[in-house]
Amino acid sequence: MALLRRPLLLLLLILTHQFLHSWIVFGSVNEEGQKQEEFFEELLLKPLPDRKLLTHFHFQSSAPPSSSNGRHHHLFPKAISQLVQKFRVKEMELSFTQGRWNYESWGGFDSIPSSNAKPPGVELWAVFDVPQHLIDAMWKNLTHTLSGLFCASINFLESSTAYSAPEWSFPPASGNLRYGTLPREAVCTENLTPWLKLLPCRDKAGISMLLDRPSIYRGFYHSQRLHLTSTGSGSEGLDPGIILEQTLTVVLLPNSQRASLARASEKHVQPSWSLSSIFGKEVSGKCVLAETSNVYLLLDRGLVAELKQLHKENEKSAEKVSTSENNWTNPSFELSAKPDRIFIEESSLLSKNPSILYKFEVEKYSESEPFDLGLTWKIPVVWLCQQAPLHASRFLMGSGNERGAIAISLKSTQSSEGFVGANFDDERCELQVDVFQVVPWYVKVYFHSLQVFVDQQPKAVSDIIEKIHVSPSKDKVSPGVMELVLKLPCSVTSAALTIEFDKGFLHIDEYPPDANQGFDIPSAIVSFPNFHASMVFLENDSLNQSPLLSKFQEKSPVMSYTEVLLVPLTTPDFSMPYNVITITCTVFALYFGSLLNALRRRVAEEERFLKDKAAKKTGRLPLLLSKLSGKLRGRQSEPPHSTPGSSSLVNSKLVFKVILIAGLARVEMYADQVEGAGKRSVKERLNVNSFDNSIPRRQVTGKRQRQDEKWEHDLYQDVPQVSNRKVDARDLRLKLQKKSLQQVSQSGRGALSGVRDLRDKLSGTMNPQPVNADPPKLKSNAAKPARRSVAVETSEPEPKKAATMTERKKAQQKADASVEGFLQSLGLEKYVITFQVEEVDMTALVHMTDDDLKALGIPMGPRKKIILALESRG
Amino acid sequence: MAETREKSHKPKPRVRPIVRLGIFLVSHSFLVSVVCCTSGVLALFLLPVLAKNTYISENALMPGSASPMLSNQHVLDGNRLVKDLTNSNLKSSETGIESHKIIAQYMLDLGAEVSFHKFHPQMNQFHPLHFFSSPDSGKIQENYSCSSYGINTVGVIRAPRGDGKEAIVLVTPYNALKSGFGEALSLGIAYSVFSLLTQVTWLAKDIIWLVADSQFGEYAAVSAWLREYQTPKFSSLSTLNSEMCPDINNLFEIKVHSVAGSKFSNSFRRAGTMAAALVLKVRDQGEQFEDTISIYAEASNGQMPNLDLINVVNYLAVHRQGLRVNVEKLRSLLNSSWLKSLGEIFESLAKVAKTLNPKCKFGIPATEYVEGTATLASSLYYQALGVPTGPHGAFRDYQVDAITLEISPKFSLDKVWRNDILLRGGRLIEGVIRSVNNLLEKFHQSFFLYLLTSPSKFVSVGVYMIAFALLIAPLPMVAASLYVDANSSSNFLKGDSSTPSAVTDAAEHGITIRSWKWLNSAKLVFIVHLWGAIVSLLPYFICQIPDCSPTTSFVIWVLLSILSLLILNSVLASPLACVKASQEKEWALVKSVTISSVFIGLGLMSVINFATAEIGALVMVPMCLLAQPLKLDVRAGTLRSCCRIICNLVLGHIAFPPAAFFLLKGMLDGFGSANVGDFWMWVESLWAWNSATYLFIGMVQLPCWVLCVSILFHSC
Repeated sequence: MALLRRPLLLLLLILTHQFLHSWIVFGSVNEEGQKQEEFFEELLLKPLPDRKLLTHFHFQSSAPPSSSNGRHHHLFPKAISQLVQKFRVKEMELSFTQGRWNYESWGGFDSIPSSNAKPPGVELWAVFDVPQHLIDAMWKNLTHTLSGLFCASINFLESSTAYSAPEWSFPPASGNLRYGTLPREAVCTENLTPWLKLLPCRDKAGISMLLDRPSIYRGFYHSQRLHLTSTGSGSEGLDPGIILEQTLTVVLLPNSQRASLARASEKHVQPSWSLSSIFGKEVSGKCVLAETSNVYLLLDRGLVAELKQLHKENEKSAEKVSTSENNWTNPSFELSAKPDRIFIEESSLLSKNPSILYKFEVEKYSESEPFDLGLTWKIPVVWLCQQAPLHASRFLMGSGNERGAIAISLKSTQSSEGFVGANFDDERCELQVDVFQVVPWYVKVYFHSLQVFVDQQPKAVSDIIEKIHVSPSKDKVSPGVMELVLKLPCSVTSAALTIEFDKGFLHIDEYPPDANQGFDIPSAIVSFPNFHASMVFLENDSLNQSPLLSKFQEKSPVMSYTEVLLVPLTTPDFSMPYNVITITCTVFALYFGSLLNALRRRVAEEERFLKDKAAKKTGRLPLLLSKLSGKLRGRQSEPPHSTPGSSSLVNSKLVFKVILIAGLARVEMYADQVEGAGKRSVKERLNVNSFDNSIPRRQVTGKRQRQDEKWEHDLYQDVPQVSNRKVDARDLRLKLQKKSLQQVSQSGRGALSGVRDLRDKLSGTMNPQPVNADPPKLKSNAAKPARRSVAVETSEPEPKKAATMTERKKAQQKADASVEGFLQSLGLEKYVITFQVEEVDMTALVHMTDDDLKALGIPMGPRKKIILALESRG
Repeated sequence: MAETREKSHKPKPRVRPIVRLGIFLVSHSFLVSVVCCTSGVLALFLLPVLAKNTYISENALMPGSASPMLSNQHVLDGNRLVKDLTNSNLKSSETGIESHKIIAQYMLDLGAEVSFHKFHPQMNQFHPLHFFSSPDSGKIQENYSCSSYGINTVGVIRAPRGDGKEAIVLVTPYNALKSGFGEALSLGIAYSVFSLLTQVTWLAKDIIWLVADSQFGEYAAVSAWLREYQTPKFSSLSTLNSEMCPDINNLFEIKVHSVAGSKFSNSFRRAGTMAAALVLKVRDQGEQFEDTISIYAEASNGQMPNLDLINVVNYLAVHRQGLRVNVEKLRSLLNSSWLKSLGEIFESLAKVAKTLNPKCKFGIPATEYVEGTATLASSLYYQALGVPTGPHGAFRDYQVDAITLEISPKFSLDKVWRNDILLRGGRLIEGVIRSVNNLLEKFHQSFFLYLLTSPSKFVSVGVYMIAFALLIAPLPMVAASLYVDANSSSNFLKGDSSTPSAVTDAAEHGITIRSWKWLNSAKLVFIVHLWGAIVSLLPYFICQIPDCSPTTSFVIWVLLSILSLLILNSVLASPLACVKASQEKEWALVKSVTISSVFIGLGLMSVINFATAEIGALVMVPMCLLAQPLKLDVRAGTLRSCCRIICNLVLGHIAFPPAAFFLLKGMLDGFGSANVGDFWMWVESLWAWNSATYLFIGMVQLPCWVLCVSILFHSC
């Protein structure tokens, strides 16, 4: 049973799966009748005259208008439909292109070049179905969305300097159009992958399997395009129907061993190719989701005419080539697969040689029998592609960084004569040419300088230009747009437009990182509205199925893009900011250095020092030196024993300086009172712990410091003798402080307690807070320099630890402390260590001479200070 | 010092230190000027020692990072072209058109876009006001005959995936009528590179190969093409003219039977903005010991291409292709013994310095020093001349970096050596093009202002400015001290007594008159400069005279100049006479104003063309500083004044521009060949190239010389 049941179950499963699958796929069919989402995939191959091959992939998905909001899409990419809904996009085209379309050898008249040849980089235009004032906002949002969707910097088109609003010269003429290009955008597989993700089969099945990245990017030109049209049903609550057209145009060189072939005798023979040789892949069946999946081979008019010619010469069987149904193996080339149908272009009035289209249906092939179309040339063929009536090229004139000119030159192509026939009947045969040119704002175009030359003769602008629309650029706001309609005589051989410009200056932060490369002027668009690139094939009934062929039959004006131009602009020296920074820093350093010097100076001591010196007999050398310095300063050299008048002047200056410095010092003191109290150096704290009576002090300006010192002397003599140290010491000190600081205000208490808390935490002791213990006492001491009260408090825990120390040691330390205090009063605390190492106490210090200090390694300045201070004490 | 001490008795307002320093320098101007001038000259001679090694500043260039792809196949292709061209030369005498056709056919076979560019050689004309303006599109002259056409053949390779915004230009001058073998070989090298470049995939910039028709001179052909490229004329009559010439039309019947898709057209082909240009030449006879490659870089008015371009060529030639790189040097300096001894002195000094401090290493060997000095001198000379040293000069006028490379092969160009040269030259060009192709931005990283002392050593502007600054530094001081002296000494004279008390009296009286006395001498100087301007404009009118030999033109010029000087002198209140009448010590004021005008002139010139200013300063600064009336010196009769008289006389001769020219020419070529007309020819060439040196000579140096001479012969 089990054995039986298992296959049955499997069968059931498979069946249901199949059913479900088909139900999902064709769900929309069942639901809404003929309104369904469709997908078509097609590929067009066309040999080009210069031994290259044009491959044109065309994918089209369409979603019908639907009533329900937020409906489920089966095939159609949701991202696109959301985009259309959100930004009310009526029509949009986005293209990524690398390389240049060679209009001369690849043709410029067919519908493929006129709709698929794009300027290098990114081009985006969109028509919105919103009121005028909302268009810009919509455009900006759209650029951001697309930039995220396609991994490209399309968001740079957001800035109003990057896009323009053509009025009428751009083919889908409409007021709601916005147009922008990014000529410098590098195109790579990162842009192709999201594009492929919009296809229902990705690149896993069907024709898109051929899309082999390396071979695409090895090509001479590739342009990936996305065109969407929303067939807007105006009624509310109904989402618009969308047609999404994705094309990829690649020009490839079939044979990679070109070098070896080129010099052989058969170098005029077109290279033979097959799909597998160009893409390295074959098509194994169609994408199951596609309605149709066809491959076409197009032989254009020139080629067919040439082939006919050849056969007339060779075999006199020209009619076979063009008309007979089974001519897929004809004498000049051979196809590896039998075409399913052959279409022949409806021979129009203009051309006697219709182009031929071979159709291959991929549906018939499978994994076991993959589709691989190949074409082998037997005889050399040379032909020319059909050209647009005028070949447009654009270049820069002039040199230098100041001004220049843009020239658009139009040269008639030989093949154009036949096509002008459309309006040959008129006496005044005229050829209409539309020119659309966007110029970035930093290229300041003078529109009045527009000059027109026809057949090398200057012409009045009004004679040639029928209609002109100019919107001048605004600096840093919008680009300049020029739209022209030229009416040229039919017999024109060459025409040229020149327009002069000045090169603008950019602000330093507007330069791109590679500013020295120059700046791009995007392509101009030259279109010929009288000429329509369309191919009408005879059997119309079957063509309705194919979006590619119906595209061919559409009447679209012939369009061509000109080259992108590179304008070198003046660039600043970008290393300049560094120089400025360096100079500024130097100035600041000098300024602050002198300021600090002024602050650190001890005026009173210097004065005393000078007086001392004056008292002593000055030697010859110092006299000479002072003379010299006096001379340099521009004063008369005054002897050291100067007149009282001059010294009084100096004194008044000095007094002013002293006041200034004292004021500054006071301000500074208050400024760092709070934080300074919290920060005590490790050394200070160590001192606190090891010596019971060394109280850390901060250096204050001279006078007060010395006063403090005096107190401390009194204090230290008292401290050891008191039995109940903890209380008495504090009482004594507090008393002393009270005495000296009665008049000080009582603000800053909170700050003080906070500071002390922090300090306590740091020192790790858990003593009861004295602040809370006796608030009235602290009230008085709170305001006065925090550090003093800090000093008082920190001494609290010390006695416990220091209790065991011997009396002798204490005495010595006391002496040490006085040395330390002495040094601190001079601002020389950094030498305390030196004295401690040498065990110099105050008594020893008094007897020390200059040489002794020198032996200790004290530099000249401090040494003199110490000696001076000792003398003044003694 | 004495003065200051005297005045110290009075209470004097305190003076700023900088002013005091200025006063100090002015009062010691003699010492200062001697020290400054000698140190300036010394600094100039130290430049070869101070030269730094070149380095590639732009990272994107990456020279030599890719192995060369030019294979023997391409060399054979190139050889084929050389053979065809030389054969066609042998075949028929009137081959001009034929060889152009051959070149075009070869280019077409490679699949390049080919076009011919017809041009009229533009006569060099003197535009008095066009010295600093950008080149215009030229004047069309209608009476050209068919024979006066030049034909440039231009091939363009489009970069396969590039956007066509930039292009690299390769130029090979070629005279179809009488081409040497070297020219054909240069075409062969270019062709082998070109055939490689049609196949490579790495090309990002388009390549333009210009075969410049050098029958009217290499420069004319290149500049005509560039003019058409950059500033084309849309309304022209040239096409009408060309249709009347059967030869030219014959040219366009070229068979386009070759590879389909290669394009040949009558119209002018363009690519994008030019990134760099290389001019390639091969010298016919090789007399070198090694294969050398000479680099010519000087463009008009001493402009140089970016140093990176020279660096790339130098690096690739030396380190990859094993070619010896050479830059122009003054051969006569190579054998001079005094330079050698100077080099030895520097070398020994460097040794001493090294013993004192082992880290210090600035010395270079004496031989290297001599070579460096010779190169530096020629670098200075060619920059000062302001005449481009090759067709690359035409590119610089359009702000395109360009150099000329001249390959001189070791032996005669037989088959084996020819292939070797083709391969190595081709690989060098390929490497340079590949480096420039890598460039994302235009050349801007490295130096534009530099002097070369060897292909791999340079002196940048920051260093060589010092020598010049030292030279001209004493000028304002001496001018000031002369002014002060003249004022004070005239005081003494005016007072007629030398007692100090009288001085103070006179000072109050004459202070207003004295302070404006310099205006008189300023007027004189102004008039002489005006005369200088007239003299430099005269050739414009003289060259209008038909059928005038250089000698007669020169004579006319000199006569007219003297006449104009006399007229100016008499019309504008005869300044020299006025000088004599008014003041005995007037010459000091004249000298002071002259010196200040020379200072201004040199300062301005150093901005326009540094080398001219430097050389001018070397001559003019001593002359100006030493100038003193001969009468005074003769009267003094001391040794010092004797020396001064001699120096003045010598400098007075040397500084006269024609005299200097003949002296230099005599030194270089020998005195036998000197001709009066040569100077006229030289001047003609200067203004034809719009060289600012001409203006400098006419408007700064000549007036200065006249003023100095007038001071020398001043009667006092």
